[in-house]
Amino acid sequence: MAVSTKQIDSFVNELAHLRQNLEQELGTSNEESLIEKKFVQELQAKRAKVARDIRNGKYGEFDFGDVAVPPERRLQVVTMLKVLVYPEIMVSEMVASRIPQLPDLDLKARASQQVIDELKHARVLRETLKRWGEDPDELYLAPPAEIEAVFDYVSSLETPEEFFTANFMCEGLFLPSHLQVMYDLDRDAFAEYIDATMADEAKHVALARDVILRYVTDEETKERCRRVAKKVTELFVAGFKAKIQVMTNIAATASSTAVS
Amino acid sequence: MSDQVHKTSRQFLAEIELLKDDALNNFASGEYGRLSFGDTSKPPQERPEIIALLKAMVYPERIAGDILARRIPSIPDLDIKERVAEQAAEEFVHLQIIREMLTEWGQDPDEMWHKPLPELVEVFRYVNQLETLAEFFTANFIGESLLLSANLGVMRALAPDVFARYLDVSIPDEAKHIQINRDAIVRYAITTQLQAKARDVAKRLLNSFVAGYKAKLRLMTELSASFTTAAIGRAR
Repeated sequence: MAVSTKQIDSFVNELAHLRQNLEQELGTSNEESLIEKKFVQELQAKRAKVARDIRNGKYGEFDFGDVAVPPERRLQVVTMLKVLVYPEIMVSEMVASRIPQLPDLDLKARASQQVIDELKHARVLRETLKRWGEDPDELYLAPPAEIEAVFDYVSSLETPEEFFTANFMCEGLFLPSHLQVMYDLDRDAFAEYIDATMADEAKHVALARDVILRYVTDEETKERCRRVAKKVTELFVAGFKAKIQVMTNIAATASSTAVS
Repeated sequence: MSDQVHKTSRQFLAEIELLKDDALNNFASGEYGRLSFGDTSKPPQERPEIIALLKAMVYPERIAGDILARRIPSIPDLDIKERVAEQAAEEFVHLQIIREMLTEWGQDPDEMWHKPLPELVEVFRYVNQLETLAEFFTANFIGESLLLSANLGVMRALAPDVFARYLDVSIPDEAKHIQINRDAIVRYAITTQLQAKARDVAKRLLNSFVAGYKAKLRLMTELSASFTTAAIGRAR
């Protein structure tokens, strides 16, 4: 079952309320955490602005072809699924390799769940592609360079605070710029993947936010994380544009092949 | 010389199973000492042997989760990757159960995370630096198999009620983990060279595991003795 923007918003709000209630019950909702929350809100605001730009088409728009044609016969849909395999696997590997850096057991446990989730998402993509007779690893083995650059950068980050700041930005952008667009434009074609990922992504954003709230507590760390947020957002946008370009090229090739 | 004969990975696994079974026979015959959990008329939180064992197990459960997580990026097959990710998550669940039990009994759950038994540290240091997946999964196979039969099985047999909360979760999980290791050995121990390296690892790990087991027994005995001395002191 796929969900709408309103449902996502209400789910995220519900999670935020649950967290507030829990903090009040545990007595952890103190002045200090309010200061860290302001930093998270600062990052959220930057992310929201980029998400709005993407949604408004500033960096191009996805086009999944003629929805009357079955998805397995539309190169745009096939390519979108192929291009997503690499990020899902890379995120799983990168989060896994950060688990030993997290000192707190609750965060370690949640990060290990994220690894499982990301691998499940990759499995759903790959199984769909195989069922459609496609090579599921084509763009995993040769991803667009701009997408590779995002992961090269994130992988080079030294501390878990920086790493999860990058995750906070990218996971938070992925939802409105990809999942929501896939849902809006062609929910049936992507239903299996969207069903598998939507709820998980909210959890992953919440994990990244909680790591930031817990560990980004001094001004120097905040400044480093601000730089990471800025850089990774630029790389995310470049990766987004590259995906659009790949899909446009493929659609053009398909159309010229059909004409000839 | 016979070790150099090419075997299929399934044949190699069968060889490692035999090594492990031999070691388990030695455990069963008491060659390395026996676990015992003190005066059963006392509640578990008053039995130093039980406290000592659980405290000693915090380090392995926690470090195992970290080591598995660190290894995930080097696993090429997504099905094995996914199962190892699940295993890492399960090790953290086991850890959490042990920590909760110790906390409820008024103990510091992290005492032996910060000061682990050196013999256990050595086991995990060794596993963490293994180069190939064939070696890594062979080491895990030996470690998890011995843990299940020589530790968890004995805990279940001797003090089922005391350890029920931990064992009800960990025993089924460990059985699954052993199967992951079997499947990974079949998948990755595919050349004579890899098998030779993994064979050495298996032998070394058997010895390290025995050293760790003896260290746990020593700790349990020491803690029990210090409790007894303290009790005698209080009685006087």
